Amino acid sequence: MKSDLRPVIRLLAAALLIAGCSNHIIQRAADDFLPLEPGNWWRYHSASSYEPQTVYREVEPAETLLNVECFPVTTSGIPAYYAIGDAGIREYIKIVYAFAGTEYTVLEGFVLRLETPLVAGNRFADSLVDSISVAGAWIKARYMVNGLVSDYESHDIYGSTYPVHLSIQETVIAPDSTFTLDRSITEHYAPDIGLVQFENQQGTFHLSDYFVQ
Amino acid sequence: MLCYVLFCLTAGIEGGVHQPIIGFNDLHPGVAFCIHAETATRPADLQAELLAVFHEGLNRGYSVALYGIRFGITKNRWLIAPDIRLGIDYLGRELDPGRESGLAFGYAAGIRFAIRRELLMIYPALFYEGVTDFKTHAGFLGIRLGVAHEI
Repeated sequence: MKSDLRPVIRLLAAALLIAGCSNHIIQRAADDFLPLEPGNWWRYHSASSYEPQTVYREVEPAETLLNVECFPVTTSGIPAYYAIGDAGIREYIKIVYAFAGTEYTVLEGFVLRLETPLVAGNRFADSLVDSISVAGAWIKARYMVNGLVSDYESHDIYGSTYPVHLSIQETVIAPDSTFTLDRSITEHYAPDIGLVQFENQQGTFHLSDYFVQ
Repeated sequence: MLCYVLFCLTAGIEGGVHQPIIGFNDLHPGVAFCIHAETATRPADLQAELLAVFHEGLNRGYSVALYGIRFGITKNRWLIAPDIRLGIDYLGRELDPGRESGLAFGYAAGIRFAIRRELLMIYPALFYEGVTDFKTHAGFLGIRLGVAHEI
């Protein structure tokens, strides 16, 4: 009986060895990279030694906007509203046009901010376009998001992290002027933690402390 | 092990559904299909199986496919038989145009209820199917219907 089981034991040992050397595909496939639970918070420090900054992000209790349940995520007190859907995280966007001391809402809605689950090589895009007539003139607004999920990186502390490159363009077209705001952001997401690093116009910010339920 | 498979006493197929219960919160229930061979030994029967499982994601563009080769033990002659299987799984995930794949250690534990008619055996089976990369563990509840024939 002992000799009968020997090949099986060898095969199982080989299986364990090979699987142990794997690239942690289960962690990337099964873990949550975007834990948006009310009460979760993250604190980031900028890498700049000349002008160090601290950014604090916190998930607030759910609210309803445009009949969609979403979570306000405050970044140093400034809220952004994220709704969780099957296709990913959608962000509430509102673009207003000021005319004669009054603000007119030109565009309002939810746009895909991050397609989930995160898979290396995935590209996604979404946009919102709308227009209104203000004092007889048509005002047009457009909000576009382009995203690319880069190949995962192995991190000593966080495990496999995904860098996500986002290109966001916000445009308001009035009869006499066109205003365009382009932003490029790179965000790194880690399993069961969320955003661990981001780079924007203000610099590069690294996670220094966090609480995730 | 190859000799066991080649000169097996029982060969069969199984099909069923897999419901994610640990991890994989972004998947719908998937379909599982496997072919397997068993040989009667003592104290337990040895078995080998080739497994394929397909899941679609809650995100319509997302899908996960899992292919495995597993070896295990069961007790073919028992009416209610325990069934344990271990092996290597290849997991591929796709969110067009992104693709990833990797190896994991797969295992299953469950029971099957054998209904015998001469050399033919039909059995419903209930499994817990687990996969791990030794960093994260995830699992499915599997319900399968199998048909096996003694050769």
